[in-house]
Amino acid sequence: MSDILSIVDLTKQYASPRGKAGVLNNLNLTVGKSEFVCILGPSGCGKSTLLRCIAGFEDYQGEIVCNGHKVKKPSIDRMMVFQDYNQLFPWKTVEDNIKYALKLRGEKDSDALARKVEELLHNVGLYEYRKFYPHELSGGMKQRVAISRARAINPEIVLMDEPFAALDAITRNRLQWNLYEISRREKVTVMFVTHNIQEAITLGSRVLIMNSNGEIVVDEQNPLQQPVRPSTPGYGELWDRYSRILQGEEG
Amino acid sequence: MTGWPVSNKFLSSKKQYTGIAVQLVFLLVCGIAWQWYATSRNIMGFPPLDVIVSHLVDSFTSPRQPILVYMAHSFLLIVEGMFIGAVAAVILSGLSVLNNVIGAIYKLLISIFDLLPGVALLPILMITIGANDMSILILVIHSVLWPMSRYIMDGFRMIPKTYIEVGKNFGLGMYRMLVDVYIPASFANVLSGLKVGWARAWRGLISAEMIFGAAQSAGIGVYINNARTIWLDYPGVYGAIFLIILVGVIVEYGFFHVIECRTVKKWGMIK
Repeated sequence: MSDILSIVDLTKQYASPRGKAGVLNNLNLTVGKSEFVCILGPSGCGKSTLLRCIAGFEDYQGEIVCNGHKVKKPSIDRMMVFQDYNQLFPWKTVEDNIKYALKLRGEKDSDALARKVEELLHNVGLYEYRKFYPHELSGGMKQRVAISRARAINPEIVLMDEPFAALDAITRNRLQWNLYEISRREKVTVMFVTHNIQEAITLGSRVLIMNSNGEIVVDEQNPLQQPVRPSTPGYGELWDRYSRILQGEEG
Repeated sequence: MTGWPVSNKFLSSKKQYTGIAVQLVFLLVCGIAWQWYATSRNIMGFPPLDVIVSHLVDSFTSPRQPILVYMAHSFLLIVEGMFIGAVAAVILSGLSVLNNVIGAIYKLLISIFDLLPGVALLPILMITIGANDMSILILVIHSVLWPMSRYIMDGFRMIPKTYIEVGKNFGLGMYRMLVDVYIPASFANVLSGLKVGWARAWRGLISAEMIFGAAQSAGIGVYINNARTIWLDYPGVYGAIFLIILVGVIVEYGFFHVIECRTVKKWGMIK
């Protein structure tokens, strides 16, 4: 598996009234093509900051290289899906939000645009809502459209910052399966930040756990048979181990 | 899921019709009170509604210049001034986003000129340009440009960070960012600025025309002034005022309200 992302000695500090506070300290990481990397960690450990550095939204020390190019600013080869439901442009319909992304990728033919929109929306079960404006959709639907929009760009890597965090359990489960199927079928490279151990175990082909010092303390391939369900052998043990690590009992 | 927007729309239109009905009843009550007061007191400067309406209808075909010609003159001036002012406001506010130095200077200019009533500029305009339509046009532009710029700049500041980051993530340059993200995301503010600009421009224009009196300008303000001082036609003064109000209402509901419904309301950006 070839590497799509390489991070060397990544350090990120924020200025605070008491001086500079370190969030990420000399972090090293490589991500292979088509990997689904789930990042777990306590609040404030730097998970989102790591994603924002990779996306190019933050200045940083060290080196981040995506597909051979050093990350200096945001770019369509690293698409971010935010936690915020309101990331779709409210002045565009569902299909126009996706068409906009497709046009940025260089697609100009109207028939091809329509076909691609149809395919992307069918994949997330929202084709019949294509004429709706974002405010007419539920939070889960908006997130599905946001995922489709990110995929429309066909980026090297999709960065997802707790996109399902504020959803109810049923919607979250449905969206997890939806994302799982898309990522495995289309071999999308994903970095997915979450607080939720179940989510990390279900979605990730690889799981990272960060501690509150902004260091990676666990970096391993998901050992469970996929697709992972609560009834999958070893699920309970893995959940329990990750939980203990997150609580600082085990490193 | 599909049900709630429909029922919401139904509730919203029901509320809207109730609002319109209440407004019409209120106007009717005001009209009846006016008619009763004017006919019972018989004050020269306070004519009954039927007399005002009759004078207004006559003024449409008056042997002196019909009132609609005066109105059209003022209206064309204000449309021209509003167009120039609105385009300038969008361009200058946009440049302020693209360049920090322009932004700092423009903020200062807004602070200075937005507080300056257009009529206060009239003496200077009359000295430098003369009592003509060009002075009024500049006054209208002044009335639109600054409040609209202030609203647009406030709108830019209030754009959710996520939209801007999505735009950056799409790799948009500053120009595309302005056109594709900043302006639509702050369109509610653009419209509010336009409304405030329209109101200020309309008031400024009428005031200026009345101050110019029978000068070279031939707008509705001049008509009111002439009706009061030359023709001694007090119902004509009221008729002209009603016409001004009518134009204001038509612009509010026939233009701004329609744009609002087709944009920011449809997009769910305002209720």
